[in-house]
Amino acid sequence: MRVADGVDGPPVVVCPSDGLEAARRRLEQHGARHAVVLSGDLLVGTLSRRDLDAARPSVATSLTVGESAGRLAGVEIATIMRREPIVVAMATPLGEAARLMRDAGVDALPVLEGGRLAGLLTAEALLRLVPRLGADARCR
Amino acid sequence: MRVKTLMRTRFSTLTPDLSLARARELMARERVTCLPVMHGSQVAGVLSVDAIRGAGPSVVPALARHEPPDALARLTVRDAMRVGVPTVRAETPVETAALLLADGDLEALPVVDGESPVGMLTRQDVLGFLADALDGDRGPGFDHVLVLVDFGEGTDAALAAGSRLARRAGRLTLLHVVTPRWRWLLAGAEPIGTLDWLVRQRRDRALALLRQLDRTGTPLDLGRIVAVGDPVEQALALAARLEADLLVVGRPVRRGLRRWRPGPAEALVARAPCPVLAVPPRSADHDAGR
Repeated sequence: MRVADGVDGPPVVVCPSDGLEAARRRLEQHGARHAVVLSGDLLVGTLSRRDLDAARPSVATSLTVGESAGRLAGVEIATIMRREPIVVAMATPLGEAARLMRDAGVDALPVLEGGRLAGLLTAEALLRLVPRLGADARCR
Repeated sequence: MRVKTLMRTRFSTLTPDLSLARARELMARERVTCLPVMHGSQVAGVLSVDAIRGAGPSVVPALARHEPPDALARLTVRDAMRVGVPTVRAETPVETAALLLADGDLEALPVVDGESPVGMLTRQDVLGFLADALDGDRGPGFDHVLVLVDFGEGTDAALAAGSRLARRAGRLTLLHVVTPRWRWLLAGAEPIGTLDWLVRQRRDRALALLRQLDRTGTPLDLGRIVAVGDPVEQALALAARLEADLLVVGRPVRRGLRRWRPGPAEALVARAPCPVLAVPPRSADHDAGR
């Protein structure tokens, strides 16, 4: 199987200059956990809900809730996105992609075709393939 | 494939009152991304590295400036742990666990026996399993091979064939069946209950012998079972219960007229729920039998 077999529909795309709240809303609207950060046509990073959580202050902060929200609103995605993500191609063997994901400790790999974004391979999509794998193995 | 073949069995546990700074140190030292949090002897939840990042100081410099320098030491596991996490058992199929991890957006699943944690299964473990399976890295072979061992002439050949045919990192289970000399014992509904000391002794000796058959350094997950009863019936029942993919049985050397009488191998071929491989004794033994 190839990466093309594991990629769902088009990924959520955000701009590096978007605010964090806007990014969170977009992810929630699409029920997605990961977004791809594009500057024009150029892939510049990835962003996950967990990255957004990490941007929030801890409960030990000296800022009030209102102050925190105000400062967070002014932060751009570019500040917290994961830059230079590992990428794969549609033709990359899926096993190789799974190993890359495991070894790099990331949950999503952007898929590029001819330098342009073609999709996003997520850990969730790979995990959902495991039951199908068993069925295939039994058929063999 | 079951969870138990992939899970990590050596891990620390956390308590809700531990500071996040200590928890993070512990996870870094053990090179894990997730640990179970205990409430008494029960699993109360899990704590992941990502959850510590989420609950800890902001990664944005403009906000981090307003955090106390010891923020992580002030926060406890309770502030970041995830509760209501599903648990699995060692015997749970990996397929089920993979869906739980995906649906719950979970870093890891605690593996429990009753209430006590016996393992941790992480996303990374399942991704690694998937990678191996997709690469065909595990090579051809059977996931679970059951070898019927009678300690006769055919045992070595059967064992060699069984270990060769098991997939890399697959399971190999050695089964020996002790048959009481008194057939009527078998007719009883509970043969174990009527085990007399002679049968018990033979069973213990068989277990010791099976242990000797262990080869160190094999990547296989090796199991040993001694059952009491009729070899064919027990092998059939266990092949079904253990979901064996291949049953290997040595064909005994038969001398004289017994050569023409069907043995356990023939009965198993006729009735087994999985493929059966009947291995002839090594040629020298075989020739001797003729």
